[in-house]
Amino acid sequence: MHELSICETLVKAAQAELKKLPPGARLKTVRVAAGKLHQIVPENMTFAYEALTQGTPLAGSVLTITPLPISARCRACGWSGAIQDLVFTCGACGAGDLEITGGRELYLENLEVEEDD
Amino acid sequence: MTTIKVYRNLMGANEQWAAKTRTLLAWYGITMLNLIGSPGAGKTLLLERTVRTLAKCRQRLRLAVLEGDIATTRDAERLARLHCRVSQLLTDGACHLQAKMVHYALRDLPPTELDLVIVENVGNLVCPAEFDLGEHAKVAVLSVTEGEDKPIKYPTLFREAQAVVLTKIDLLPHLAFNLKACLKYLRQVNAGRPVFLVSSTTGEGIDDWIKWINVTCQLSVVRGQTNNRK
Repeated sequence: MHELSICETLVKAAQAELKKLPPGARLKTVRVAAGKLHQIVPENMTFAYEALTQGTPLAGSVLTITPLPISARCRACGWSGAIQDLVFTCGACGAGDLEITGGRELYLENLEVEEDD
Repeated sequence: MTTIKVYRNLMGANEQWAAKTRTLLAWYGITMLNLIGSPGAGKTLLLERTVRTLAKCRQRLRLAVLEGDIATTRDAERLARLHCRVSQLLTDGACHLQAKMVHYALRDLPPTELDLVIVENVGNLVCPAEFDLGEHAKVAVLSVTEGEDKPIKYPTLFREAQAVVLTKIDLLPHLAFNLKACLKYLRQVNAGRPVFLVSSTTGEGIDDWIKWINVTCQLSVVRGQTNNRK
């Protein structure tokens, strides 16, 4: 349940952003991008989010998680591409000496907010 | 509806503490390893064997252990019996150690007169792999009783690990564990990493693991990741 610790950071970050908005702004959606190397279980994350936001100005907002693919660059031949099915070998020469170039990201991407006209 | 772009790193706070730890380790000339494995993988027994073997080595690395557990001080007590400097970190339910906790523990050791700190993370193959502690290397500890497919079932840890210790190999004759398949899966997620086949009970394979620790300590000095002010 590392999702709980991560979600605590997320809630703090979203609250800080919300404070910058004019009063009456209602948070509808919180969008997080998570690289697939992070083993984030979306159900655990949304469960933690709902539990942590109860009774706060964030309550009722929806957390959505966009998975980001794992990508790598081959140190032997220079190939760059996606890592499929967690087989960490070069798609061109088959070497295993890869530099991970994507899949470790974990960030709060954006907030969708409804404001009074 | 308005969309507000944020792009804030959610691991940022942990990464800041990990960076502080790296600075502290470099300042005091210490190499830090982070042992990660499931409960019962044999992490503490491996540490006991490691402490006893290092004490007999010519290099005489000065070692401290940071023991991460959810509850009890049992593991720290086991290591203290070997006259090893040890601090117990209790997470009180949390499934992993975070960088801030480790940083405070390091500072309180205190970190003077040390060459090597080994962190034993909370027994768990998933969550500890997510949190950078500022270590020089993560080491995955997998016992042969857990099954050969764990490297592909828990790829993040085995991908992030700089070395893998396969423990309890004295039990191999009694198990259906497919060693060849396990090594293939390890190569699949992380080719080129050293894999040490050890039995902490009989001592088999321990010497290569100890050699790797010594080389890792020397390399971190050479690469300037730690000061050589001994």
